[in-house]
Amino acid sequence: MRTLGTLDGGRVALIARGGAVAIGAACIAHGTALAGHPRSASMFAGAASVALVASVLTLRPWTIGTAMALIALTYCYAVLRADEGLDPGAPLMGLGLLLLGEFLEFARAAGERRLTEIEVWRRRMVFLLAVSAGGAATGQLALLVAGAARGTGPVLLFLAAAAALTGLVMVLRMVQSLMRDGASADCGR
Amino acid sequence: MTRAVTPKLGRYLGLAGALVFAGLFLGRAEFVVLACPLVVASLAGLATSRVPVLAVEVDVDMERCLEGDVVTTTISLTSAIDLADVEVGLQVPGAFSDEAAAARRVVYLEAGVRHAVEIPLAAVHWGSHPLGLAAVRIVGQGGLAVWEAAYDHRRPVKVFPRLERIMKGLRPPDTQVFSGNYVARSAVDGIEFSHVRPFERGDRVRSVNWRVTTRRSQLHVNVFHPERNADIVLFLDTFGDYGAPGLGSLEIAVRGASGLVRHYLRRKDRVGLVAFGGVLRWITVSMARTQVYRIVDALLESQAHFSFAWKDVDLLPHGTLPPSATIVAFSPLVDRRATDAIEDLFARGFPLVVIDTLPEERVDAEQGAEGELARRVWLLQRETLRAELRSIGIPVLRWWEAGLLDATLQSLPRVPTRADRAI
Repeated sequence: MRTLGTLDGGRVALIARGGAVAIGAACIAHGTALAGHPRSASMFAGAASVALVASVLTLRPWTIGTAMALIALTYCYAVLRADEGLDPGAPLMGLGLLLLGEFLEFARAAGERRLTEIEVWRRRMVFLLAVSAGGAATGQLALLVAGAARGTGPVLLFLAAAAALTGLVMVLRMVQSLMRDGASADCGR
Repeated sequence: MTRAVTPKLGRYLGLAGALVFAGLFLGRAEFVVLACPLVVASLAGLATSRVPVLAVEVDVDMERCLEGDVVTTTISLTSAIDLADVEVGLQVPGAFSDEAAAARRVVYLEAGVRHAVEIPLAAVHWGSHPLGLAAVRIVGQGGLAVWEAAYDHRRPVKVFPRLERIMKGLRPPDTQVFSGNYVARSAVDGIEFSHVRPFERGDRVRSVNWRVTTRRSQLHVNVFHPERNADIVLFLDTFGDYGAPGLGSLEIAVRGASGLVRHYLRRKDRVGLVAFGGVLRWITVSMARTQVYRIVDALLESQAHFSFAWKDVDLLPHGTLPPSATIVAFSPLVDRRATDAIEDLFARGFPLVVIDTLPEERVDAEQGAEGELARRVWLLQRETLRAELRSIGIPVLRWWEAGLLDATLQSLPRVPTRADRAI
């Protein structure tokens, strides 16, 4: 029989909400700055901000989805409006979108009335870090391929997607090995 | 074990699909790049989530406890594979309090290692309650898929009510020939010393008081009082339970009856029970040690059963009410059938005391002047009913506050006997 400590769910939820607000605000600010602060971009940014605040306050699945979609829409509108070549911040923007969703999910899980072992939180964080790193790397790779093949048409874009898939397989193997190593370490302990 | 995907998976894949489609349609690589982390997270989560194989056992550490005791339920989990996110929940009946918020736990399971989750619950309400229905939810990596199952290992846990501390109680007016704690007025064989008198033919030699005999130069013997016990029948009105949950009239009655059962059985009296309501239950008088458990078990299962059927004490089987038994009736004095039964018992010559268990002071009036007026009329009606009962010789005591039953009983000088009625 093992006895493991538990984390204060309220504190975890507070930290996760704070992280979500910071990441969401940074994503919205990046999109607005990329668009050059026109009124239409500000409208998108305002709507995304409202959705972000609503999602942080309510933590409902549909508000989280709405906030993520509106932030992505703000960025997409800014990219279309800027039209100044590839945005080098796109992988970071994608990573921010993922982290925003994950942090809001963390806050929702931590806010429920239950005790969670520290080991569970540790494994969630390890998985999140691995996936974030893999996602950012894959996005960066896709951006590099797209940049190198710019102007050659959508065929090369598909090739970039294939490269991204290869990266994904590598990430999967990395995550599996990470989880296996973690279990082995626990058994040894 | 049922499997399902979470809204999170739909959110990620939906958003990623929309971004990839828009990127391909508009020829913007940034959109595809934006979708990459979401796709990676979704695929990684699904690929690393494996179908769990789980063995679950549920054990409750005690079958009987008192109100306020902590009952610990242990849920033992053994998994064939590593499971990083296993939520374990226990269905908590309303009679138990989960103050520590421990009834839902999220644990990590190592393959082949037995993991025990202990869930302490405080028993807050008497009764017989099933405990042991556990639910397990296994969340896959990334929280994208869940497997759920329920494990029913319920068994009844009996929570005995907190006892009213009774020092003296009511002294029954009639006693029986069995040995008990009451000292009879007559002076014959017994233990309690009465007086010394001159020897008479037939006195036993062992009763001779040699000191007095030597001093008075004449044989004297000691005389003792015999010890007697009494028959007590607790009469519970179970036609209704009036009041807030946990503070209802039936709950108060059960609490008081439990205290009286232990008090009288400790004094070697014979105690019986009659639960008179929609469902009639009875336990004949006995003084065995197991009688405490028999009566308390019956009290735990006491419930108010709604019924329109007209009932009277003729339904009680022979032997339930022994001659000369003292009846202590707990009733909220709301249902006419119960008050009629009480009057009937009194008319048959049983020494009887009624304890009114309806907390009138806790009944709030409706809003407005009419509500206040209605409450006053209702209080007058109840006072009239009590006065009617007292007028025919039935003492009515009012009690509902914990810890005050003994004081309430002491307020009655003695239980009226048949001789009192004749006067």
